[in-house]
Amino acid sequence: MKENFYIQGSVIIRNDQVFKNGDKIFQPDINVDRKDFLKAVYTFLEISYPKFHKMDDLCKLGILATEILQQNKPINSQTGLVFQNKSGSLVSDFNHQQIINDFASPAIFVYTLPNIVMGEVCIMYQLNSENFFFINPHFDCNFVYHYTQNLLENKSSQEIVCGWVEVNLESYDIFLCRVNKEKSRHIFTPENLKKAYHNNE
Amino acid sequence: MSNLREELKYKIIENLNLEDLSVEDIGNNDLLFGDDIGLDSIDALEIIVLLEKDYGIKITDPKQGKEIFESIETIAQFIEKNQ
Repeated sequence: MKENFYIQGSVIIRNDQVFKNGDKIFQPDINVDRKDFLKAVYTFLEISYPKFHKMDDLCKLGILATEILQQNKPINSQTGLVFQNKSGSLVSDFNHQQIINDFASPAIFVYTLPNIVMGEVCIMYQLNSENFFFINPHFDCNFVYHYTQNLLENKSSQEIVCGWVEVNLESYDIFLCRVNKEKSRHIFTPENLKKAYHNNE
Repeated sequence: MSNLREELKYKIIENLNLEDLSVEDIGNNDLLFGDDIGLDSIDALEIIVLLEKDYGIKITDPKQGKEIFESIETIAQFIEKNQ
């Protein structure tokens, strides 16, 4: 019989706004560029992690969203990650390509893989569990649902942080949610996952 | 003499995105890769690129790196010797 799992919380970062469980928790007072927006969210969340400033935008957004998800209840080391996006590590790839004929930057090069965002999340929160990164043209709720459900049913992970972490040169769209066995108002289903993703559009 | 040291601190902060640090926070003899400043292996590679790009100095023997990159002072002395 299929086991039920539950969405414990969700985070959306899009259009220079941050939402937690559907409620807006942060928006800068003035229009800022992406770099300043990310720094403003970092400051707002009172994170102290100097390495954050060295990361590319994809990793910064992954860290910020995960930090919000685990603010009230820290994620444990067995929390798995199932992320998806469309553009891979395009921003870092582009930045690397821009300078490769001159002097390539090792600090940019190390971010030219999309799954590095999961590595950074694992390092920051000391996770040593399963993690998977998929590339897809759009957020595929059914795919993420089935993959996550499977990992939880097989007890490969006690808990999963899953979602969409799209970052490209023009825009970004981040949606992460936390799923485990603890009962909550929202059963983990493809429909509820889709609903949570489209919240705050 | 000290201009080079201040310049190095500024460039390292800029190139390595050490946003929590200012030039005043880095002492000439602070350990860059120890507890003082806490740089990592990617930072070391960035400093190698910086030396080549801005000062025209190539580090050919990687074993030298540990001594050269110990502090701002040792990097400055290495530049002064090799430029």
